[in-house]
Amino acid sequence: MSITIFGDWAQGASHNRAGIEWQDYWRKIDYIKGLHILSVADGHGSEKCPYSAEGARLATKVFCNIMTEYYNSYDDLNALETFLNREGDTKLARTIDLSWKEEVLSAQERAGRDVGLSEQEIYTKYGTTLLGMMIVDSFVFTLQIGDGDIVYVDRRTVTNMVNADKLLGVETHSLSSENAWKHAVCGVMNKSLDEELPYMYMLSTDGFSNSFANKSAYYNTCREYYEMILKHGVKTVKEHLKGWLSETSAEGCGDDITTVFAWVN
Amino acid sequence: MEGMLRTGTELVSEGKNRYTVRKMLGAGGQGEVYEVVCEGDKKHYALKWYYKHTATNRQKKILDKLIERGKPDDSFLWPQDLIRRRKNEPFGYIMPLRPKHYKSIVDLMKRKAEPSFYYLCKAAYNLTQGYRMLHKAGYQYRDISFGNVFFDPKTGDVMICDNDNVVPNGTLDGGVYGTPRFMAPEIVRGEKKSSRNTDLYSLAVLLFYMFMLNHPLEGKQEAKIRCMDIHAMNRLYGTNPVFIWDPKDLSNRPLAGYQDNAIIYWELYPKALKELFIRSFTEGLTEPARRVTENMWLSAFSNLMSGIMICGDCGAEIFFDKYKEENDIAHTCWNCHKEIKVPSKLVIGKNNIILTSKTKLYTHHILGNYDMNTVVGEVAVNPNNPAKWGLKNLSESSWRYEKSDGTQVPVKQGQTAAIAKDVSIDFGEMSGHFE
Repeated sequence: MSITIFGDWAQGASHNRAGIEWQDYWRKIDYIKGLHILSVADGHGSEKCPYSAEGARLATKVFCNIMTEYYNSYDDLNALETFLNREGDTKLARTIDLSWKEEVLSAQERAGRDVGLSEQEIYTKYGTTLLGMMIVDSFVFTLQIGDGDIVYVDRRTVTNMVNADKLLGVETHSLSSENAWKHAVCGVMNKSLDEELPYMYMLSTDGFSNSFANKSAYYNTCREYYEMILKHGVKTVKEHLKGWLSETSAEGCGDDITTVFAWVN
Repeated sequence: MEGMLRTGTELVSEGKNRYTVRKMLGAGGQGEVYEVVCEGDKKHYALKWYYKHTATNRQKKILDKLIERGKPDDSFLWPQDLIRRRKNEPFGYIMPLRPKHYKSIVDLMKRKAEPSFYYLCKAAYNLTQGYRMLHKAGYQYRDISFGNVFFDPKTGDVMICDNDNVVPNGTLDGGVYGTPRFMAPEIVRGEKKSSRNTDLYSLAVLLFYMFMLNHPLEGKQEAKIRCMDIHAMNRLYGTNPVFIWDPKDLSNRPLAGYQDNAIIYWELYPKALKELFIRSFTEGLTEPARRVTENMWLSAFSNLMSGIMICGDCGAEIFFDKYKEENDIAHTCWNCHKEIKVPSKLVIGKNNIILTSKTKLYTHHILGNYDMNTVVGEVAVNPNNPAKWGLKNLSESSWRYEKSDGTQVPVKQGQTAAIAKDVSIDFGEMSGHFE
């Protein structure tokens, strides 16, 4: 079984017009044997959050570092799976929440920006969501704070792996909010040795699913990506991904879109 | 993502019932849980389907025994039927489906469930009662944790799931279950196997979580840990456990700003409850025989439920604290901080029952039998004079009402005895007086 992680981003058509910088960030770890980590963050990009691109970068860094640390600390993957299953949305989510806030305060201090603000005011300026996934030999762990989608696709199925804790309308939960960990949703899926290949995981910012009229249209597109990788290979899809995401944004909601794939073959 | 069983898969149980898989509900370390529908009664059930490596003969034998002996109490989502497709292949078991409105302790921590104090106490009572019945039936649970307890915030009813690790007390199968966070320290250190005594420790942790929304050993020491790996857990819960409110060892106090729940909630409860937690996590850490028993918890929770006062200014629920009364310490509202005047109460043995227009008297109050469901009396307000209250006998036996001058009047079933200061009622087994 091999796992190929790739992704790309497209600046939102509306952001482009308004001259707003790209607010998403994605990161992967695929150089440690037996471990793959994917993370995507969507900086809020509003006036209140001028440093949200930096917030998104820090969020992916925190997720990848903490998950690597956990992977390296547990000799027994069953014990890690049990821990993540039971305490992923409490202890782990809380550690991610607090670590991101520590990173933000350090970044703020380093940059010497906006002296005199309260800690909460500083966090708000860096506001971002977070999607994360850790794949090991025996299970896959997912974590989500705020909007976006973590989707699983195989020959027969297209489904969200976790259901985000959503707010009404366009508002989203954010790592910058007080006790952000309380809005974390997590999932652990066991992997069997005789699982049917290939399949893929997709992590995408909300700009992607919001570009479609409904969930069904979005799922159809996820399936089309699956079929395209199956037919043309990772390399080809990777080459065209940016252009396709730009088209989706232009014809859809106009927001930034970042999508990361883990293709399991 | 469908998991091991695809939607629409048909399965036949050993009890000859036919089930169809509807959808996957979740997955854990041992297997996956599906919603299934039974062809016979058309009802929806949960099916736990084991992974290949966990579908062992030992697990199958445990399930056979559990199904044969049946549930100890209605609060258990107990295995009721076994499904095995072919020999040497994974198997699963059928259990009732948990209704969606039941919430977890994690929901409580995340404020997605906000029961009143009364129903929180009732949930704690029902949970403890469930484990009492389980232990009484000769079982040990072995894996008490967040994930297997759910409650209805509007009624305090509880559901205990994941009962497939339940075994007869004294079973030495070498299995270690659960996560160190809920394990007794002697198990974490690898010195002992699970038993009823270690269940009592795990129950105390769960109860502490329910009331304080924090782990009893997670204070400053835990706040310093970034990666909760096995070494950190062993230290925190096994080799160096320190209760966050240990009266003598102040080294692991909760950290303000990080463990605020533990600080805020500790102050709200009566001393009697706090003493049980102190005992559980000081003496109980090193002396398993000194752990708080289910009956001690049940007495405390029944008193908590019976001792809730309502703040006249803001409507918040306040617990009556006998210690405060005995030491002339005023009760103050945790919400509006105003002083609360303790209403009239009926004292029966160790039970202090605060009298409000909605107060009910339960069998436990007059017989001490831990039955807080069967109503044997209730406060009745005189329709002609709302200032006059009485206690209506709803039990099947007659009570004896004793006035301050010594005269005695029988209170038959359906009759009401006037509530007045320094008057007593003989309920048969126990007697109480109004204060």
